[in-house]
Amino acid sequence: MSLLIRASALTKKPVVTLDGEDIAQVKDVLYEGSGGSVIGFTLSGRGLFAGPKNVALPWSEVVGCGRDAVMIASDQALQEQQDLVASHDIGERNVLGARLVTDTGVDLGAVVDVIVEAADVADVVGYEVEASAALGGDARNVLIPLPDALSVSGEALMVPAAALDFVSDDLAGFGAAVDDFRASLRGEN
Amino acid sequence: MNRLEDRTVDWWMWILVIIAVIVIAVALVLVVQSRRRSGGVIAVSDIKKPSDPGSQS
Repeated sequence: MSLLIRASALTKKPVVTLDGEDIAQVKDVLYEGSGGSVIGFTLSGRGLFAGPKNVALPWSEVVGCGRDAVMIASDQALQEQQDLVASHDIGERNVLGARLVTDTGVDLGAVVDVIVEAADVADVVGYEVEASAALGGDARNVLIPLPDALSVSGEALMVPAAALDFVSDDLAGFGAAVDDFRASLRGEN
Repeated sequence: MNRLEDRTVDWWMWILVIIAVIVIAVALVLVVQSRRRSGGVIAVSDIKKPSDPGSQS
């Protein structure tokens, strides 16, 4: 069974071992720019003066991802950030705030959140954008489904123009919109 | 008498200065910490797979 969640709902969640030890909190959600698979999380310490940690949590080590905490078996699940991601400048690749543009050159707005489908593996399946004039504007947020293969490069994020036919206003029903959109790209509809 | 009143004012002034410095320092710490710990969603292009050579550094 899969669950659709906003990435912002994962950040700042405590990371707790099955022994009940609260060892860190989620800082960034890392995902594969080309495929959309969630790789894991960067972490920061708990407590007022704790800063970012050098260790990361791979998604494969997550035992459970509940409303209040991300559960792991033990602190052995954490690994060095360099072992998960090769580059050191990952902070510069934050997609929040980036412009979302269709392959026909229509600006859909700024990305304010990322929708993750969480199961045994987790995938980025959509972006939440602050709607531009092309989507009706009026300062509302809409959900844009993504194809299986993503395009993340430079300043802007790209989606096929066909995604405009599957825009949703909320998470309820967005999973079906993603499935329909991907089926239409495969020519099944 | 006037000199004594002036000294009293000076004493309270220093207390206010110390409180202001503490408040500013705490505010700066909170702002810096919230920025250091603020989350994002990072698109990564160069993932290290377990089978990659050199992934065990």
